[in-house]
Amino acid sequence: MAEQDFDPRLLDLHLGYLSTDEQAALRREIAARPELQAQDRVLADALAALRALEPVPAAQGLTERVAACVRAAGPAPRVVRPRDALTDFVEQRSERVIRIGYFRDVIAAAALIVLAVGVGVPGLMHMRERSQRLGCSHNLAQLGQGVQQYAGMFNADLPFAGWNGRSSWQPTREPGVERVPNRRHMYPLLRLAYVPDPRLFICPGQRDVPMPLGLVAQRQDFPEARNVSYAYQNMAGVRPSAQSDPRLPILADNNPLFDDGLPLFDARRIRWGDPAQANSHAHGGAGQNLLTLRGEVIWITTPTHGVDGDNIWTLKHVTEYTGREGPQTATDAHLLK
Amino acid sequence: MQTRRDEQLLADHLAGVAGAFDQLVARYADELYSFFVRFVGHRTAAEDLVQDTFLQVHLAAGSFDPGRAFKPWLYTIAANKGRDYMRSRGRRPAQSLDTVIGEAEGPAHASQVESSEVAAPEHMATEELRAQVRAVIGRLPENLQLILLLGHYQRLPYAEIAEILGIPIGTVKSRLHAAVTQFARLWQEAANGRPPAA
Repeated sequence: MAEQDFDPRLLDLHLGYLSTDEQAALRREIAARPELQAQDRVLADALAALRALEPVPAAQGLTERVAACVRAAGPAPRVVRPRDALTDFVEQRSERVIRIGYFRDVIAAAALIVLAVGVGVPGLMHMRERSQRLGCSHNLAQLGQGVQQYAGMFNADLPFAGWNGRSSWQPTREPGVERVPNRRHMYPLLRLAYVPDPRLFICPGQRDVPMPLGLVAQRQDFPEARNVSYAYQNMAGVRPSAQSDPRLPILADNNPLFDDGLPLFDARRIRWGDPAQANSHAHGGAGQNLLTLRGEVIWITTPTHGVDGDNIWTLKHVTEYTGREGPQTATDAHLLK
Repeated sequence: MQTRRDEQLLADHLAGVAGAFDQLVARYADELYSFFVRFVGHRTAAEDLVQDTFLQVHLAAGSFDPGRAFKPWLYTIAANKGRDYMRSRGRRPAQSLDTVIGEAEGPAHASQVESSEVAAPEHMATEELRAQVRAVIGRLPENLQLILLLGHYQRLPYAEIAEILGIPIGTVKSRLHAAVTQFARLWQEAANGRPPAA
C-alpha cells in the first residue's frame, strides 16, 4: 500500500539521526504537507509498537558467569606476527623521531600533512574508484563471454536454472513455495566452467566475497547472496535468447531497489532523478556497469538504458513485487540478484 | 578515574592484565543480552550466546586489528552467533518468548522474567502487546530483523552497522527503511485484525 511507505527523512528524524536544524526544517515541512503528516503518523505508530520491547530486563549474574567462563578458558592465544626490518628500524630510532620538539616544526609538519592529504586523498580516491570500475567492467566482459559460450552450447538459451509456478525469487515462508533467487540462474556458468573463477562474480567496489572454488562442483547455487555482486536478467517470465535484441541488458551492477530479492522501496515513489536512489550502490551511486546481449560493457549513469529507454531495474506494468513476476516480453529488462 | 577505552582493555587482556576482560564483559554483557533476546526470542539461548560471543572474543583477541574499533567487531561476532543459532533451529520464525520458554522450560516467560506473582491486568496487556510485536518482527526476513535490532534497538550509528554487516552505508539506510516500512505495514494489518483495546 503506497500510503504506508514514507519519506526516508522521517525515519532519520524518529531515530535521532538529524541535526537540530534539520529536525526543525523537517518538522516545518511536515506541518505544511498533509501527506507527510499521514506518513509520520503511521511511522510513529509503528515505532511506538516497537518500543513495547524496550527494555529487556537484565539477566541475573550474567556478567559474573561470562567472566568466569572466559577465565576458565585460560589465557588468550597469542598471534605472533613476523617483524619486518622496517618496523625494527623505526622502533630502534623512535626516540629521535618523537623528539621533534619545537612548536614551529610541529605546525610546519601539520601543514604539510594537511596539504598532502588535501591534494593527495581525493586524487587517490578517484584513482581507486576508477580502478574498481575498470575491474568491474572486466568481470562483466568475462561473464559475457561465458554467457555467449553457454548459449552456443545450449541452442542459444541464456543460463537458466529452472522455474515453475511454485517458485519465488523473494525469500518466502509460504508453504510449498521454493525460493529460486535470480542469481541461481548464473550458477551454471560456474558449475559448467564457462566462467572459471568465482572471483569474477565479485565487483571490486563491493565487500562481497567469492564462494570457495572447491565447493563449486558440489552445489547447485551460490551458498550466499554475497557470493555474487551482479544482477542478472529476471528469468521468471519470458526468457530472452542469444537471438533476442542485441541491445538487451543482461547483467549489471546490483539493483539498488532490491535487497536479496526483497523490494526496498515502493516503485511508484522512487525519485528517478536522484542518482543516489536510481543508481547501483556498487560505485557510490555514480552509475553502473552494464553488459548487453551483444557482449558490450558500458558505463551508464541512469538506469534507463534498456531497449528503447527501458528501465533496467524494474518490470514494465509492475508496481508491487511478490517474487513471482517476470518480463512479459523479451525486451523488458529487469536485472536482479 | 580515567575510563580505559575498549581497545586498550583488549590489549591489556592480551598482555595478561587481570580484570581487563572482566571490564569489557561488564560493559557489554547486558547490551548483548538484550540484542540476543530480541534476535532469537529465547532468554536461556540469549545467555548462552552472550557467553559464546565473549569466549570467541577472548580466543580471537590476538587477531584483533588494533586499528579498528572494538564495538563493531564485537557485534560482528555476535550477529554471526545469532545467525548460526537461528539457522541451527532450521530458520523457524521467531516466536513469542512465552511460547518458546513455555514449551522448553516449564514456566512461561512473563511469569519467569517479570514477577513470580500473578500478573495484574495492565501487565498482561503489556505482555500481550509485546508478544504481538515479537510475532510481527518474526515475520520479517532475517536480514531486516537484524538491521531493525541494530538500528532501532541498539541505536548503533549507520557507519558501525555497515562495518558489522559488511555492507555499504547506503544499503544500511535503505534496508532499515525497508525494515520499518514492512513492520509498519504488517503492524497495521495485525491492528486491523485485532479486537479494539479495552
